[in-house]
Amino acid sequence: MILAPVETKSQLRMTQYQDIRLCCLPRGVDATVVAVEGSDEVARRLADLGLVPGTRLQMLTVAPLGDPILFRLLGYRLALRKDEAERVLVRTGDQRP
Amino acid sequence: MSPAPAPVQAKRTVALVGRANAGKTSLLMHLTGTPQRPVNFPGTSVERAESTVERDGMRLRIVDLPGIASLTPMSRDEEVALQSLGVGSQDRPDVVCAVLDATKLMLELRLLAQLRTLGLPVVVALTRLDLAEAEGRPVAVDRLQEALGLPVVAVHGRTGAGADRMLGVLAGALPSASGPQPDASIASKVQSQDRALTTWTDRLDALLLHRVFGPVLLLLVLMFAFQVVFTVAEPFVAMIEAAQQHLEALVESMVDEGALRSLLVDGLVNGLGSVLVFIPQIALLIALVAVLEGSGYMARAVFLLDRLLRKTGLTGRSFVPLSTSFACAIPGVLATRILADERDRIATMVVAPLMSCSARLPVYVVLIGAFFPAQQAGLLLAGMYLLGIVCAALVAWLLRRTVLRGGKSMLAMELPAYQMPGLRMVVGQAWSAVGSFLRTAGTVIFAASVVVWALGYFPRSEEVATRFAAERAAVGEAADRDERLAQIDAREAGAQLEQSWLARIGKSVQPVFEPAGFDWRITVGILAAFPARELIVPTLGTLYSLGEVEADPESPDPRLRDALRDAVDDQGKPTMNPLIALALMAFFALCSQCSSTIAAIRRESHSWSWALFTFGYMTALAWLVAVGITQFGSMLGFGLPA
Repeated sequence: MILAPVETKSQLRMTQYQDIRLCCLPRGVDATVVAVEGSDEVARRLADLGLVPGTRLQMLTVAPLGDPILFRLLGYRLALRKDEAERVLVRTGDQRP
Repeated sequence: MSPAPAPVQAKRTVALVGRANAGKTSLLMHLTGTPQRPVNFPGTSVERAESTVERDGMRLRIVDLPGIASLTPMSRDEEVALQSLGVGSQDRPDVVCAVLDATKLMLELRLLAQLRTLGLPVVVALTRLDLAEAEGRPVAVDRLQEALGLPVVAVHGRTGAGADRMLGVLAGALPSASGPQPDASIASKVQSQDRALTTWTDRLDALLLHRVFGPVLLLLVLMFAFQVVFTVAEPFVAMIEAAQQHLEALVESMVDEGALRSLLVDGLVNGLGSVLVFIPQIALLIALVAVLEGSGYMARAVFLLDRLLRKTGLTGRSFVPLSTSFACAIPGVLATRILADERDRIATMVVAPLMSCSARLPVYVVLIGAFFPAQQAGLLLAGMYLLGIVCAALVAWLLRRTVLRGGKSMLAMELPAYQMPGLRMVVGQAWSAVGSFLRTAGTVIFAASVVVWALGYFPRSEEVATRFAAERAAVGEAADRDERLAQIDAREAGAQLEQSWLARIGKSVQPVFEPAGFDWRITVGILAAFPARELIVPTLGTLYSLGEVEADPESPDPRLRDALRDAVDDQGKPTMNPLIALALMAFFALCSQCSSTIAAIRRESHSWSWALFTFGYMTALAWLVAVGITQFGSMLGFGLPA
C-alpha cells in the first residue's frame, strides 16, 4: 500500500491538522501515529516497538550525519533510520484524530 | 536457628522473559542469590543463565532467556529464546515470569498481551518503579494487578526488594494459563501518561548526542578505554611473565638436561605463559565494553555511528562486535548475534578479525621497540590499528556490493535511560569471556606451542652432538671453563635447530616471503603463528636466542628485540631493517592467524565457506600489503643499509 501525500493546503485549512511522514517531523512538535505502511517484517517490528495508530510521539534529535533520528514515545526513546521513519504517517496539530 | 527447609516435593521451571535491559539478569541474581551458570540452549551455542532455588518445598529452576521485544524473532538470540517457549519444546517452562519495565508500561503491556497467547501461566515482575517515579509517572501496582488479573510484584533492581515475595508467588498456586489479553488502555488507568519530566538521561543526551560534541566525546571515550586497558593490564602481564620465569627456573633445577626438560620448559611452560599473558587485557577490555553497554552509552555509540557504518555496508550495531574484537575476535564473532539481518551479520563476522586484537600487541611492541625511536611508537601503533579498520571497511564495502548484496537491515532500537552498570554484570561478562578464551583459544595455543616445540627440537642430529661433545672435551680445565661450556651449549642448540623440521619447512617456504624481505627465521615464526599468532614471539625467541649466538658470542641470552636488530645472514648482512619490520607488523595486523576465530566463524555462520573465505582473504591481503610495503619502500630508498 502506498499512501499518497495528503498535506495539501486545502486540507490543512479545513481540518486544522496535517499528516506527514515521521521522518519529516520537526523537533518538539507533538504528533500521533496514523498508519504504518506495509505488512512486512519491518512493519511488524515497528508495531512491536509501539508505532501503532494512536501512539503519541515527539522527535528529540537527529544524529550528527543526519540519520538516524531519535523519538520519544510511550515513555522511552526510540532511534529510527530515515527510511524506517518514512513508513510511519503521523498527524500533527490535532491530538485527537 | 532457622527452621529446616521443607523437603522438596515438586519441581517447577520458570522462564524470565522480557526486553533486553528490563532487568532480567539482576532479578535472577536477587531471586536465587547464587552464581549463575551459563548453559547452552540444546543444540545451539546461544547461552542463557540459569540457577535453582528452593522455596516452600518447591525446587524452582529459573532460566534467564535472551531479551525479546515480541513473539516475532528479529535475531538469532531471540529466535532461540522464543523456540524454547513454544509448545513441544523440551525446554518449555511451567511458568513465564514477564519482566516489565515500569517506565514504558504501555509498550510492555503489548508484549504481555503476546505472552498470554503462549498458553502458559504468567506472573509479572515490575522493574524500574523508582525510575518511573523519578520521571513523575509512578505506577499503582495493586490497581495494575487487579486490572490484569495476574500476580504483579514490584522488584527493585539494585536492592532486590520484592524478590522474596516473587519467589513466594512462583512457588505458590499459579494463575490460569489462559485468560483475557490485557488491553493497552490499562496503562493509562494505573500510570499518568503525560510527558515525562526532563531527566538526567535527557540532559546527558543533549551533550552526548550533540552534533559536534557527541562524536568528539565518543572518540575520547574510545581512546580512554584503550589507554586504560594498556596501562592497567601492564603490571598484571609483568606478573605473569615473572611467574613464568620462576616456573622455568624451578623446572630446570629439578629435571636433568635433555628432551624432557626442553619439552617442559620450552614447550609446556612457554605455551602456558603465552596463553595466560592475554588474560589481563581481554578481561579489562570486555569489562569496559560491558560498562559501556550496561550504562546505556553503547546504544548511543550505535546511534552516532550508524550512518557511517552503513556507508561501508555494515550497520550501527556492528560497532558492538567490532569494538569487542579489539580485545579478542572470538567474543566479537559471538557478539554478532545481536545483528538481525543475516548479511549484516556475516559481513561483520568476516571483518571482525581485522580489528587488532590483544594478541597482536606483543608483536607490534617487540618490533617497534627494536627498530623505531620511542617517540614514533604511539604513531606506529595507532597506524597498525587504523590499517585493520580501513581494510575492514573496504572488505565489508566490497562484500556488501557483491556476494552479500541486499538484505533488510534495520536499526529501530531503544536508547535506554542511563544507569550505573551493575558490578556483578561487568565482572560476570569479563569472567565468561576469559573462560571462553581459555576453553577455545587457550587449548589451541597451548597445543600448538607443544607442536611447534617438537618441530623445532626434532630430529636430533648425532653428528652435531658428536662434534660439540668433542669441543667440550677440548675445553679441559681452562679458567673460563663454565663460560665456554655455556657458549658451546648455545651453539649446539643453534646447530640442532638449523637442521630441525621447523627450519627445513621454513627454508623451503621462505621464497614465498622473499618479496616481503622476510628471512627464513621470520618465515618460521610466521608459519608457527598460523594456529595462533601470539606464537611468533616465543618462536622467534627460540630461533634467535639459539641461532644468533654465532653472530654475537658476547651475549649468550639477548632479549628478542636486540636479537632481531642484530640478526645477520650467512654473509653477515643484516636480515632486518625498519622497513621489513613495518612490513612484518602490517602482515600481522592483517593475517588470519588464529584457528580459534576461524572455528568460531564456522560455528556462527554454519558454513565452512565463510570460515575458509576469512582465512583466505586475510592471508592474501596480509601478503600483498607486506610485499607492497617492502617493495614500494625500497624503491623510495627506505630501509637500505646505511
